Amino acid sequence: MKTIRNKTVLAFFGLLLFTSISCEKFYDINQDPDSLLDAPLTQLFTSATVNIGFTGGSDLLRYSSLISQQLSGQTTGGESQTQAYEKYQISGSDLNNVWTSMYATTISDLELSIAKATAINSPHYAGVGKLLKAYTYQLVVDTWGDIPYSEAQKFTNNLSPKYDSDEAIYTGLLALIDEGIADINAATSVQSPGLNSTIYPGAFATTKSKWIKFANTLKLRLYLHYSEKDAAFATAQMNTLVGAGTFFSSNADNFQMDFVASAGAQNPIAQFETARPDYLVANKLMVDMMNTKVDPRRASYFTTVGGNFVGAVGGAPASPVLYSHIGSYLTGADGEAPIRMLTFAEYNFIRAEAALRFGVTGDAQTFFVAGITASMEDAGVDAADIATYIALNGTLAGTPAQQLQQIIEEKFVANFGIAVEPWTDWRRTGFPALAVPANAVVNFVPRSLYYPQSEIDLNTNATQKTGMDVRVFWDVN
Amino acid sequence: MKKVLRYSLILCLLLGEKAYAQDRVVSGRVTAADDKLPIPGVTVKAVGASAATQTNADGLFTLSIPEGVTQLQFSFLGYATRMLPIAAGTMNVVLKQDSKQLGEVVITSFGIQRDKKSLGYGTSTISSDELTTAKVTNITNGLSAKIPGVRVSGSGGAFTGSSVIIRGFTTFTGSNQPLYVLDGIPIDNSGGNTPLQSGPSRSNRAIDINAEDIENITVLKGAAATALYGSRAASGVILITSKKGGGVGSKKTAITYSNSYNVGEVNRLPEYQNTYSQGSLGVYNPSLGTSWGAIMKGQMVNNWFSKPAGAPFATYHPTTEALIAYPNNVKDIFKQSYNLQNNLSFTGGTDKSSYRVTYGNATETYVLDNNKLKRNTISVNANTQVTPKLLVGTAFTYTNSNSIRTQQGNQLSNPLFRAYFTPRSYDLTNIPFETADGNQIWFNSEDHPYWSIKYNKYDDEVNRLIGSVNLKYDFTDWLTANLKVGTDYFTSKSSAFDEIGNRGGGNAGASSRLVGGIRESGSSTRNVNSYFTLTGTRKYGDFTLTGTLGNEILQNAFNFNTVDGYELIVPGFRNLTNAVVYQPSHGSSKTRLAGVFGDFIVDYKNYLTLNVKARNDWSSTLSKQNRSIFYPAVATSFVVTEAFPTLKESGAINLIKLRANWGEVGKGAPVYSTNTYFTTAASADGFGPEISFPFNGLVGFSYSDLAGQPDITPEFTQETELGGEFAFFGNRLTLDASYYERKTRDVILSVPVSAASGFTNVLKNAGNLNTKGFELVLGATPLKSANASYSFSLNFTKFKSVVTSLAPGVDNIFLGGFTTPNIRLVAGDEYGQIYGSAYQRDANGNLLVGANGLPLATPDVKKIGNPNPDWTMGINNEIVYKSLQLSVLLDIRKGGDQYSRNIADVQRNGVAIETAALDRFQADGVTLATPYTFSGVFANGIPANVMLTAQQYWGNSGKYVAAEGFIYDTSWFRVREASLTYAFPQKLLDRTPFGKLEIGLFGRNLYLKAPNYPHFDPEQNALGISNAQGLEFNSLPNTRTFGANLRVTF
Repeated sequence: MKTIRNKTVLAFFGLLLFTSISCEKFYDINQDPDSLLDAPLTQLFTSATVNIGFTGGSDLLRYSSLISQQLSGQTTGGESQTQAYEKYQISGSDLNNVWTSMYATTISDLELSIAKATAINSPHYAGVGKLLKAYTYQLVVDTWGDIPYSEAQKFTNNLSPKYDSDEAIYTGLLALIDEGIADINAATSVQSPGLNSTIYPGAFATTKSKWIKFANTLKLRLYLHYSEKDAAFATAQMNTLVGAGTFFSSNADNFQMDFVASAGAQNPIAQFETARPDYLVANKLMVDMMNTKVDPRRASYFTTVGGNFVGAVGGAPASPVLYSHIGSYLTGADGEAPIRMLTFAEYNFIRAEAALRFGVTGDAQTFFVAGITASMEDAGVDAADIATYIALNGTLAGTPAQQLQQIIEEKFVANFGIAVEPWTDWRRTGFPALAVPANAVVNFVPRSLYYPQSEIDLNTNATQKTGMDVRVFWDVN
Repeated sequence: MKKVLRYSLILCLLLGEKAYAQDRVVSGRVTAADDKLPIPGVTVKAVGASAATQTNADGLFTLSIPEGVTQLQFSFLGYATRMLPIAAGTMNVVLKQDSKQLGEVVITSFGIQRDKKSLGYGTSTISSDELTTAKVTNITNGLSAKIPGVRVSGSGGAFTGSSVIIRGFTTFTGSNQPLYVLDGIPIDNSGGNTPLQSGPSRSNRAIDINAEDIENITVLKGAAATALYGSRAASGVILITSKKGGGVGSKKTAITYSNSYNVGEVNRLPEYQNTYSQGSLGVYNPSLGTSWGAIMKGQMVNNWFSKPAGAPFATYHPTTEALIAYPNNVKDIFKQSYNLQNNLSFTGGTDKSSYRVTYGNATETYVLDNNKLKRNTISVNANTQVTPKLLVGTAFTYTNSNSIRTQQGNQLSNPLFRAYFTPRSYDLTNIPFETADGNQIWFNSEDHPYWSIKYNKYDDEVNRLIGSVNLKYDFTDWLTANLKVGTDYFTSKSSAFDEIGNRGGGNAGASSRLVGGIRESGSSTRNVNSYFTLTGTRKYGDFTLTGTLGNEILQNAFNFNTVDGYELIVPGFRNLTNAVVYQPSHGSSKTRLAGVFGDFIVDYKNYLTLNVKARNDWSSTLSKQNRSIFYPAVATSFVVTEAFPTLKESGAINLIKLRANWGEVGKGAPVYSTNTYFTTAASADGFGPEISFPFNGLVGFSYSDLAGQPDITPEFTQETELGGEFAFFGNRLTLDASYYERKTRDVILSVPVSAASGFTNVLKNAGNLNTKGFELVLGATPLKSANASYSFSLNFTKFKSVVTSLAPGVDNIFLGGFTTPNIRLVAGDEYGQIYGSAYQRDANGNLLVGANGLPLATPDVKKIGNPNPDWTMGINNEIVYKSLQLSVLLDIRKGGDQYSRNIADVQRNGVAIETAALDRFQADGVTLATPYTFSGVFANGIPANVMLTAQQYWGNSGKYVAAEGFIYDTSWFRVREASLTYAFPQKLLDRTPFGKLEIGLFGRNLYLKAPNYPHFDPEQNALGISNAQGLEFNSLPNTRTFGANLRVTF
């Protein structure tokens, strides 16, 4: 009896021991039920447009507006990062984050969107994706010069993409924009961007024309950059484009992203002001320029100190209360202001410069006034004040160089809050004249930024620059 | 199925019934030498035969013995085994307690008990008394300096736990913390990672175990020791054995009550200057955070209350004041903390059952207001002998832990973010910090320390059940089966609140700054496991064969829900309905693992042992083709003194044992890592701005930056260990030492790649890690007399883990920290080095100084420190005089660097005493003095001679310019724990209802000497239980505690 019981118990345990193993279903649970293995095009595209808008008001904007002396770094205690940036202490490590979000989030989501759109026969999505990709790469090239392009976003197929020549990339971007326009013009598209696009939201039937205008205006911006390198080419291209294309015709066409006055949805400039109060104040260069002209945009551009608009110079002692801070034009009353990336005002200034310098169709003076007007309207200035300002400051005069200075300096004020472009204009034209801050770590204004440390560490094809005086291909003056 | 039956059949056939002629009956009584009380449960065995029995509750036994047997063996855990010739009549047997013997039966894995002498690998066991000397609430803090081969690093604050690193690091970015097993049930010890820039610190979940319920803790260190845990074994195993009732049949019932109370205070605060006011450049300025202002001599000044436009706060404080120092303005932030513990236990048994039922509670506060931790534990441990062969047992512990906490870390809501350098002239203690409406009154941009303590709130609660049911069946006296099924189930909820007007968004993130935010989180963890073992022992001549076959099945499931609410409407109303914007998130995971294992021992004549172990795991986290993983180990021991007994004759040598082993263990792959997913979209930069989805009603998904890896396998750690155990002079001098080498390969690594590829990281098995280490315990009893003794036990730990390679093309991995400084793994260098900006130097190593006489920082980071100590040592001293016992634990650490932001802060802001060591003003009291200079050279090689002011020298552009300037050596000597206990003599108690009565005094961190680390306790660190050690950023202070305790048994 006892023996039998022992054997029974043992057999029971033995069964337990050997039946518990190797049952496939038992182990087949390694797919995350809370994440998608594939995401719909619609939501992937939203991720890309939001990240484009965010990037437009984040790191790159801070670097370029400090370098171009629209803003100045301040602190209440220890040296803040913005003060370091302003004295050109921008190390490779500082640039990891923005590079990563552009390449591994924005462009990678765009590339996947384009591939998906193409696969499901939705050229409208593919076309818009290509335009956004071209815009984003333009920022990357203008900031760094040679960058990964042709081998980028191949995911695990290429973990060390090679660096392409910046000039070749510009050629590629122009071709990409043309492809995008062709896609957008396709008669049929299974899916099209709609309210899910945070840039030009709305039914594609109504936004299509804005995308086309954006494409052409972006091309104009690229050609203008080209002009220093090869004026004849740029001129010819701009003339052809101006003759055939449609462009921004009002501030309603501005390439910008609207944010929302609620937590987690506010524009990044406003969020930075909350998170890092007193890190950024108005720069003396820009404020003085506007003070001289009694510029009515000051009220929305900046706050006042004792009723005055006061800007700081780089390296000024710590005392942020002495200076004007960023105003509602960039932040909105509660973070709802748009992040502007390419505006009707800029379009007019591009045309003014093109007409003035290269004889591209159109009247420089007319575009100059239109540029000022567009900017002022966007800043909420009333018509009478615009008229007063234009009466005093709205006439191009003097030598071509002086007229160019007028155009670029007005563009400099109009492009307040636009990432990279004011710095690019300075690199192209030398306007407005920038003095190297007394405490700067190098004795020149940077012509490009260092490559991110992560690239130097991880991409076998990356080589660090000899300095921030290495120039982008179009920067030849 | 056929196969299963066949195996079962074979096993069944091995069984047999034995019968012996029984012709004699012996009886007797076994008592203890110390208290003369009967000992129940003593095994009485006929030597040379299988007949055996146990004593009953009265210590009585009766045994039928076969013919030819002349001796009986009496053995009981904790007592010296005796062999006595069979005497006529009733035998009176006295057993002596043997402190050596107590540690000699070691539980290895899955309840397998081994005689320590036969083990081929080193283990360490610490007893309940050692663990609870200083009555710490979190058991991981109670391990400091007590175990050789184990580096225990606390993170300062009393509410945090300690990182426990056993014999070095085995992985890069995964956890290096050991597996915790409570009575055979693996338990979760997650948490304890201190977030760098948000929220409060959180406890590691070992805090749910009440140290008073622990009988002992055994630490399995090397691969050969832990092999049976297979793919969870690489970082070692901490086996916790809970206190049980008396043995079955003990009938001994006892009620024990213990109480302890201690108070704590900050153990080290900076030394401040009290000469110079808030301000800069020698001028008082009430809007600045620095103390480079005027000499304070009572002069009247317009303070900050006159400053902000229109002086909105002027009604709350006079706008002028006499400029004087407030020497205690920082010290006053800190309060006295306390820790109160009560424990009540009932133990007892009947003929066939035993039980232990306990209730414990602990309440602990911290040195900052609004920090309190409460823990209630109830546990039941019961066993019953259902039939003579079947023992059924169960153990359940229910824990309720809850806490309230304030913010920590490098963020504006941490009350200590800038408080350590509060301007010397600011009366922080008495100046109001809020308006009647609760708005902050504070000149700086962070939250006012008192405002943050009062208004930024966090609380959490964990309800946890750890329980198991155990069946043990003795087929025969040589074959036993054991089945245990257990669970570790807990829910955790936390509620965090950033009041409207907060400046840091510490709890709910950047989006709650100023507008307020709430974060409600809940999670549940449900781990279920079962194991089954079949253990047999047979003797064949001089050989004893012992074998265990077993299997284990585990399922771990976890899920969490978090809702963030922003833009609060009603101040102070802590409810999600008070928010306008919501942000939900949810996630879950589930893993399964099954393993079979075997543990076989051949013992020859009690002096030569060979132990072979193996385990095979099948894991759900691996792809099908990689699922089966095998882990082998072999260990051998040779007891020289048993092989050559003549060695022992002189009495000078008691034990010489040599051991050697080899094993390979693993560390499993993370869940869901075989695929690449799309994740909820988001935007963020490093400064706080972030966009969370849904954005404006839109859902977004983004392709993950982290690529999964279908071919992932576990990591493998191979270890070879040599060691020995020695005892001399009647066991008054003992030594146990081990040397080991570990090689870890296929480390699972989220390999950083060029972001231009579209991914930032690709998961891979890449990288190798080597550790060489040495550990020893030296025990000595220099003094031993009838009334007094002095003994000490010194444990020494030294190991060095070197990253031999990372992934191809990757030369460093970021483990944690900032752009500068940060902690990195660098191929070819020791684990976890400190990188940061350094001072520029010329080719000859001279400090390069700019034309302004100030040092220059390197544009990129360089290695500036090594946080790993050269060695650590604990010395536990025990002095016993009659009923009085003093124990003092010394904790000595040699080497190990740390970057201290706190030290940097008190220097660069001009509050530290050394910044006023030289007069800041010339004799006129107005002109700034320039007594400082950086001794270095200008770019042209000419020695620098620029004289500097104190502010230039210590300030942001001076010493502070490079992180290198704030690397400090953390070497310390501290009295980690001490206790003085008095046990009332039994004679006195005989006339009282008490069985035992013990009172004591105890303390922790009683003394600290850190010769190279000024102002703060070097144990404070920024990242808690993390692989990144060596950074300190605005950390919460450590405490010194002192208290009294009482233990009484009825």
